[in-house]
Amino acid sequence: MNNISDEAIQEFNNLLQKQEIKAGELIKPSDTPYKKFHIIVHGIIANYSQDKKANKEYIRAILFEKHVFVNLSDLDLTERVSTDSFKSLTDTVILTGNLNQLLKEAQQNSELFLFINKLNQASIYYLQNRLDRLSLLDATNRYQILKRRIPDIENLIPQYQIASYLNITPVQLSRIRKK
Amino acid sequence: MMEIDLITSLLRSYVSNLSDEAIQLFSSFISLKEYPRDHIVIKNKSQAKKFYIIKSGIVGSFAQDKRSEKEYIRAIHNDKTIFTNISSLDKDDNKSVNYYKCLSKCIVYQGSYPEFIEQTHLNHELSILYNRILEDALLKSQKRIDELSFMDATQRYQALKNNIPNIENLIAQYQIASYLSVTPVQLSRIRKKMYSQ
Repeated sequence: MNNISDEAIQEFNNLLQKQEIKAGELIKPSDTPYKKFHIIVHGIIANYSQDKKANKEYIRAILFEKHVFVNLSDLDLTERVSTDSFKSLTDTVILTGNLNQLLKEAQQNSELFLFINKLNQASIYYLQNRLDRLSLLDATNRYQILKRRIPDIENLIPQYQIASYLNITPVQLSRIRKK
Repeated sequence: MMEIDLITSLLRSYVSNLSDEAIQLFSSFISLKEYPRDHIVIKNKSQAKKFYIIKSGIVGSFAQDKRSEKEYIRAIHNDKTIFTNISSLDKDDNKSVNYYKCLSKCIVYQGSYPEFIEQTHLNHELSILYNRILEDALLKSQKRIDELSFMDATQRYQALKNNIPNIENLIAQYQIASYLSVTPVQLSRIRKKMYSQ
């Protein structure tokens, strides 16, 4: 959104607080209701999703600088299939704001609302891409893309979690790496 | 009049206190269309010029990898679903082919997407409505990814059946298989096992 006014940016900025997080620290304990949004200044954060019934966990998304994220699962008031948590994989700096406050401000300020809508559009696109990669690319391709994005991923998260992000078993992953 | 009722209840399912004026405004830029099975509603590479609301029928969102030419059904949309080709919003995406096709005979409302977006700039209520629709779409996309990771093919099939009980009568088996990310043979095994229990 390149035509957003300085005033709207200022108003948005007022909501934010800088926060430093050490590698390995959890940003959100799994099951507290969560009303914050975050912007990554630098560092890498993994979004874990946990299935309540099967008690399985996987990394749904790996987030970088300039990514904006919220705990989307909180929007799901009916089913609550999964619970989310966010963990920093490196030392990370984030900006944190109160989601309710942002939405309240946005009720008065249509520029902010348009901005939120743009963010949502981008996020849908991002999720759709992830879904397409899971369905259309083979595991080797998916691994290569991940390695391109984060060359030292092997040092940041355990193998079985990389495997879960790629939707394959750890054994399959070790075969791919060997090759 | 019945049409207005459907739109009213659909829009109020997103924003319960949406005013009659906003609904009126929204209704003024949509019109009813009828398409046969296999009709391509949105072609690849087209900008998001229209959005659609399904009144009856099933529309599949298809994605194809350019290199391998592998194709799958990304989403199955049924009645009361709102959709447009969000991938066209990414200007430098050349890796995949996207299109939307009627998997059965369909009756849909069609509206101008740019016009709707323009209205969201002018009308705060419509902006809120758009926000809720996007949030819902986000949540659905996320759930679909979670399903692929957490559920096995049988569970995914059950989830689809819960969502659209008569899906077997509406679209072809190989299309259901494609949506579930299994082969048609695997799907027929799953169905056999389920129905023999």
